This record gives sequence, structure tokens and C-alpha cells, in this order.
Amino acid sequence: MSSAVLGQVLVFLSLGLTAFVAALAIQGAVHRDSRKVAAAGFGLQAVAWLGVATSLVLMHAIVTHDFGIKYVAQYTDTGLPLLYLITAFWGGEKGALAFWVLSLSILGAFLARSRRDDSSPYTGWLLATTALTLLFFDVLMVFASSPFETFLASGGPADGNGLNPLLQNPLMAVHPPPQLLGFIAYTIPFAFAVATLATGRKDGAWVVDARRWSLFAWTMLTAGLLVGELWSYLELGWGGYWGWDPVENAALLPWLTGTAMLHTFSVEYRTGLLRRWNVSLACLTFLLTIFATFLTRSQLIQSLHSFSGSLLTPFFLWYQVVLLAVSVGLIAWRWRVLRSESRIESFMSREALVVATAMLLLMAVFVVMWGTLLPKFSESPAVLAVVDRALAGIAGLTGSVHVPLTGAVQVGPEWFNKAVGPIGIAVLAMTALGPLFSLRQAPGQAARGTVWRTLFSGVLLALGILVALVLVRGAALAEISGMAWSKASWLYLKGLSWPGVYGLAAVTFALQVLAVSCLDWVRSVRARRVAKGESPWTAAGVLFRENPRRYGGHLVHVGVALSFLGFAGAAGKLEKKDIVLAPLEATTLGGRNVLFLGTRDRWDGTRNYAALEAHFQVSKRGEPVSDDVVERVRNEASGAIGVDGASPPFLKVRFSSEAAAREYLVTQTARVTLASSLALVGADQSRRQVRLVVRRPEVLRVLPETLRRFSDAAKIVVAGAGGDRLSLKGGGRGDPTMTVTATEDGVFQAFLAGWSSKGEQAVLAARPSSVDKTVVEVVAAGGGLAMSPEVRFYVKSENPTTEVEIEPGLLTDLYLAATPAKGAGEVNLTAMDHPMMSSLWAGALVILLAGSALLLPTRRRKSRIVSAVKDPGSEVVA
Amino acid sequence: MSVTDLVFAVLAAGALTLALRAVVRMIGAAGGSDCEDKGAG
Repeated sequence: MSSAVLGQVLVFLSLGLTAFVAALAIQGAVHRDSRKVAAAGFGLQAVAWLGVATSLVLMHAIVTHDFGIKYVAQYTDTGLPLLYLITAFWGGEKGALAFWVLSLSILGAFLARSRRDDSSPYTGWLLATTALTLLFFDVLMVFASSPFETFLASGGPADGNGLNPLLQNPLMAVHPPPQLLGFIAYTIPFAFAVATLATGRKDGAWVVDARRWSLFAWTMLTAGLLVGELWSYLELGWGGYWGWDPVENAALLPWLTGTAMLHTFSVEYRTGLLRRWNVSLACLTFLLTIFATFLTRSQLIQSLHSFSGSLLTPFFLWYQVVLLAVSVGLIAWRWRVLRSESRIESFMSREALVVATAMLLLMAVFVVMWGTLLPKFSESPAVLAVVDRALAGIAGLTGSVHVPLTGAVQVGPEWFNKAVGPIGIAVLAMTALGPLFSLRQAPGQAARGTVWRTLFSGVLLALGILVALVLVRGAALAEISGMAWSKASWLYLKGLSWPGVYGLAAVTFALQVLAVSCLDWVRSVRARRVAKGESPWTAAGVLFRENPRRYGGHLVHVGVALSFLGFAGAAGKLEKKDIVLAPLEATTLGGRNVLFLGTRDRWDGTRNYAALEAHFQVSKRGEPVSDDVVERVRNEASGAIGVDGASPPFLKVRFSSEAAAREYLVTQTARVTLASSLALVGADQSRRQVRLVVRRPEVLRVLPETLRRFSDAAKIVVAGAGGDRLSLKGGGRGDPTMTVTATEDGVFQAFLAGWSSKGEQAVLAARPSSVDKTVVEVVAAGGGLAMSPEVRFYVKSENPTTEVEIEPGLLTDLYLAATPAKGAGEVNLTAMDHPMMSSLWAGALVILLAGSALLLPTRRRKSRIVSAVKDPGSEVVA
Repeated sequence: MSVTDLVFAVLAAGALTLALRAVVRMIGAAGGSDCEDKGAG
């Protein structure tokens, strides 16, 4: 039996069994039949094993190159390394669907197993909701998007199309699984909410389990988003990590509601409050995961994430309608039952702050959704007219000038940053204040004092940062412009734009969050050390194990604060340059000199791509070249009478005669620009003639214009020889050979010497001096930091990929991305100083580690869960 | 049959066996399902 047939059979079996399990669970729940509920639990486990078997069949087809299956032919080829073959499993829509079914069935089996001692109708609805969700994806896999579809007329192509080169990156290999798993896992809190609503259960026990599933989903989704950001930063070459792309926005929406839900769950778990909030957020978060998938697959809005036209769009659209109707219907039905027995008693309590934070996060959801969908909706003249009237009304109220809209509204990253930035900062402020308040009570006099002191210290901190910025930047401006310091400082202050103000606020609150979280840890560790005599690390570990919710929460908040420092750095981005550079031209960036040395080609036969590397040397402006480097150049330049390093980044190599300088220049330029790409196939000493052929003809297959680059490089060498001492023939359109002829023996030998040099060279680039013909200006190896961003051109893809080069630093990353430009040997360079990126990634790591640690079961947590189930709201905050 | 085929065949057969075992347990659990348990939940 072929893989395709076996896979189809298993998918059909899975569909049938899932439908049966859903029916069994519903019957069990409706008729209070505990046996049917228990049977449904076993059924879900059987579905999970079927899912595993189906996935194994698909994976087998991928790794054994079964190109008779359309999906395998479309997303893989025989040259793909094993890592990317595995990646191809979820690299396309059909595979992603199979991954969804596999993951949800496994999560469903774990859920069923965790409920094996409880066969109540509540569990019945829980399993039924999970099974029905799974059934929807099974239906899609069977009727709309089967990964086992085969070629009807033939046995398939001899080789496949290969994986999209953008996905051939280790980060992209690991980005989709946690992202998808995050989406998928939000099914379970939704199932808990539905079961609670369906049974009308009044206690808050459901949040105990639902919160753990939410934490798992949130950690996975966070990991997916962060890896995606890192991939965007390293791979896409536009200089940022979050572009407010519709698909990024769509994935952010459930993350925002999921974050709110984690906090509101915590309040219900401890106080019994916020029940309506929790069921609503659980339903909304799940709905948003489906909306995100719909937006990603439907291509409703143009996105960076290019997926081919999908058949799934109508299915997802109707599924969202059904979900919305069911959720709203159930919540409306149980609205009275969901009323909490008590109310929020003080606006200065933790629960009030949690509600305020949840509202802010919901506001962010609305803003992001509005900004994402408005461009599409405003394509309709009716919607455009409504938006135009609304804007005119706002303009009338604020007294500003209204410019009538003439076409679809365009919403860019600046709009999102402006609109979402203040909400994010307000959430950060809440994060700083939250731990200072207690649950279910207004703060006492001492606690109120702490709150006021924290607020006051925040104001002082903001003023301090502002004064420091004015002092430093004002002084720099005064030095450059020659203005008085006071005037320069005032000018700087006046010119502070909105990103600067946001950045200042973000840094202030982020530092406050760090201070509040760390102080609580430090105080508690100190108390344990005094009481028990433990070491600081032991005390910290015990604290985390004893009260993971409090101290793990602090750790996550520390991660968030560090990330916000990174966002603030991006808001106050120091410098970005987009510039076209010819070989040996330089640009300056943040006190550094970025010198373009030239391009070089490379062929990767394993992955079938040609890379065009752009080589740069980065050095501090005005820093002299070290004596060692000068000495190396002197030793290598035989016949030189002096090497002068006084005008960095160039060294001046002086010769006794013009002829000696010329021969040195010919050797160096031939070696640097030609020898790595062109091979000598025959040197005729008597005719002083040599033929050059392209070393890697495969490069020409994907990058035919490389031949012109070689020809241009050879012309530079010929020009360096001066007069007609060297002449060049060939290298024209489509001709991979060139013939170089010399009129002088010395120049000919110098040209050949370019190919005889072995080992690491002292010179990276050379050019004639414009003032003295006995001098050659060279760039020495070791005279600065070598950086080589590149562009890769794949045999099987029309779209080249950018591989940026980043020099990470504690305070600033130097970021270079280069693509070929039109002129001879020129490149388009994007150079950036990216401040505080290390803080962003460190924060991300802390969030993920803390989130994962919180998922680990502890003895104390188990006992707390039992007591919370028995008596929800019994726990008092430490 | 290559080693890859063999490994995948063994794993898939294992998964199918466990699926079958779960189905048998499901049928076993559902047997005599007219016995109601009104007290649960």
C-alpha cells in the first residue's frame, strides 16, 4: 500500500472516530452517562494515536521523497537537508493542517487522561468541545486540503520544487511549531469555558486547570512570536524585527487576550471574582486564534507571509461565525449564573488593577484589529465614506484641518507604533504598580505610602533620564554646531519627537518594574537567609518552588521590562543609513567608518544557491591602524620603501619607482578581485597572454549578471596597470572566458602573481593614489572589524534571500544588509545602529525560561490546587 | 525495504496498535452504557 493511500485511509478513520467520540461525549454529558464520558476519553486517546500514525506516514513520504504526493513535490526536493525536510512537514498549508490535527489530538488525549477520574457531564462537555474542534480540522483535511493528494495523470515529477528559501533557516525551522501549538492549546481553556457554561457550574474550580493550559499556550505563543521576531531581524534585511505585518498582528491578538486571561484567571482562582471576564476571554482568545489562522491563510490582506491561495477561507469564515454565535449564546444564557458573589471593593486593589490591565489589553486588540482590517474595509466606498465622515467630525472637534480621503486608507508601522505604544506603556505602568497592591482590600497606610513613593520615584527617574539625555545630546549638538550648550540643549528638547517621549516613558516604567520585582525577591531572599541561614541561590530556588505564582510572575515581569527597554531602544533608534556604495567608498555610522571593500561570489552545492557576499571593514573613525597591521603590510610588500598608517582606514605603501608601485597594485587588485572567482587556464609566457575562466559556472546559472561583475573587476585591474600595458578581451554577454594580454614582462608577472599568493593575506583592497604615482593605497586585514552580509540566489526560487550581518553589542547592535545595486560593483547598503537589542533578547529568554519553569509541577502547587478546588477563593495573597 | 522504511513502519505499527488498544478500551468503557450516573457533575 502506498503512503498516499495509507495516509488517506488513516485520515478518514480519524475523521470517523473523532465524530463518534464527539457524539459519545455529547450523549454522555446530556444524559449524565458516566460510561459514555469515560469511553469518549479513551476514544480521544485512540484519535491521538491515529494522528501520530498519520503524521508518521506523511513524514515518511517526505523523507523518502515520494513525489507522487503533491504536497511532498510542492515543498521538498532531493537536495533538501534532513532538518528542512522535517520543517517541510509544517512548511505548507496542508502540512500545517496535519500538524494542527496531530497537536490538538495529542493535547486532547492528555486532557482526557487528566480527567480519567472524573466522568461527570462537565468532563463530557470538555471532551465534546475538544473533539468537535478536532472534527472541524479533520473535515478540512479530508474535504478541502489533504496532504496526501496525489498526481492523477502521472506518478509525479522526478524532483520536487523545494522549500521556500526564506524558510530554509534554523530559526524558521523552529518558529512555526510553538506558534501553532500556542494557537492550538487555546482550544483547551475554551473547552473548559464551554463546559462551565454548558453545565452552569458555579464554582471557580475550572480556572485551576484552565490556567495551566493557558500558561502552556501563552508560553508557546510567546516563544513562536519571539523566534519569529528574531528570524525577521536576522533574515529579512529590512532592519527591524516587528513590521506590524497583518499576519504578525493576527498572531498578536490572541497573545494580548491570552495575557489578560492569565491575570484574570489568577484573580478568580484566589477570590472567585471576574467569572464573566474569564469565560469571555477564554472564548475570545480561541476565536482570535481561528481569526489569525483565517487571516494568514485567506490572503485577505497583503502580507509579508506569502501563502498560496487557499480553499480553506470559506470554512474558516463560517467556523468563526458559528463559534461567535455559540460563545455569545452560551455566555448570554449563563450571564446571571456567572455573576460573582462579591464585587471589587476598592479601586486601589490588585483585582481592580488586573481589570484595568485587561481593559487596556482589549483596547490594544481593538486598535491592532482596526489598523489591520481598515485598509481592506476602506476599499469599499461606503466604508470609506463613513471613515471620512468620522475623521471630519474629529477634525471639527479638535479644530484641525481635515483632508478628505480619496482612496483606501493605508496604515503603516508608524500608525501602529503611535497607537499601540501608549497602551503598552500604560500596561507596563500597571505591571510596576500591581505587586504593590493586595487582593480584596484597599491598601493600608504603609502600603499607600509605598505606592506614592513608587510613583514619586518614577517621576524623579523620568526627570533624571531626561536631564541626562539633554546633557549628553545637548553637549554633542553644541560640539557639532558650535552653538551655546544651553541653546543646543533647548533645541534638542524641543525636537524630541513622539518616539523619544514614548521611549522615555517606557524606560522609566521598565526600570520601575525591574526595581519592584527585584526588590521583592531581594527582601524575601534576605528574610530566608536570616531565618534559615540559606545561601542566596538556595533561598531564591526555595522561594520559587514555594510560591511560583508570585516569584515566577516577578521573573516574567522582569523579562517584560527588559523587552520594553529593547522596544524603547528601537523607538530612539540612533542612526540608520540606506546608501549606494561603490567599492572602496565608505559611510559613517555612530562614530564608525563602514568601508565597502567589494563583492565576492560563493556557491553552495548542497543547498543549490549562489551567494553574493559584500565585504565591509568597520573601524572607529580616526582610530590609527595598529603597528602590527602596518608591519604585516610592510613585510608582504616587497620593494616598498615605506608604509604610512596616518590616514586610516587606508595605508599608503610607498615605492621607489612608479613601475614598482604599478606592479604591486596589479598583483593586489588581481588577487583581491579576480583570483577567488576566476581560474587561470593557460599562461603563454612568450605572448604574455593568459586565459581566465569562471571557477564556479553554477553561479552564472542563477546569477548571470555576475559575468559583468567579473568583467568590471578585470577592467579595474587593467586600468591599474595604466596605459595599454594590459588589455582585456572576452567576458562579454554569455562568454565565461576572458583573455588578458600584457605588453610588459614585469606587469605580466605581477598579474600572474595575483594567483600565486597563498594563506591569509595582509591586504584586503588596493587602489592607486590620486596624488603620487609611487604610492598605492591599501586596506589592511586586521585594520577593523570584517563584516560580510550576503544575498542568496537559489536555483529553485525566483526570490533571493538576504543574510544580514550583525555585530552584537551590550548596548548597540551594528546591523548591515547589502543587496546588489545597478552600478559596476555597487551595493545598496542598509546600515543601522540598533540600540538595546541585547536587552530585548535577554528579556525574551527570561520570559520563556520563567514561563517554562512555571509549567513544571511542584508538590506545593499540587496541594494548593486541591485546596483551591475544594474551596475556591480560600487563598490569600502572600 | 530500506532502514528508513523499516523504522517508520515499526513506529506507525506501534501507534496503530496503541490506537486499537484505546478503541478496545473505549468499547469496553461504553459497554452497558444504559447505566446512568446521575450523581456525577
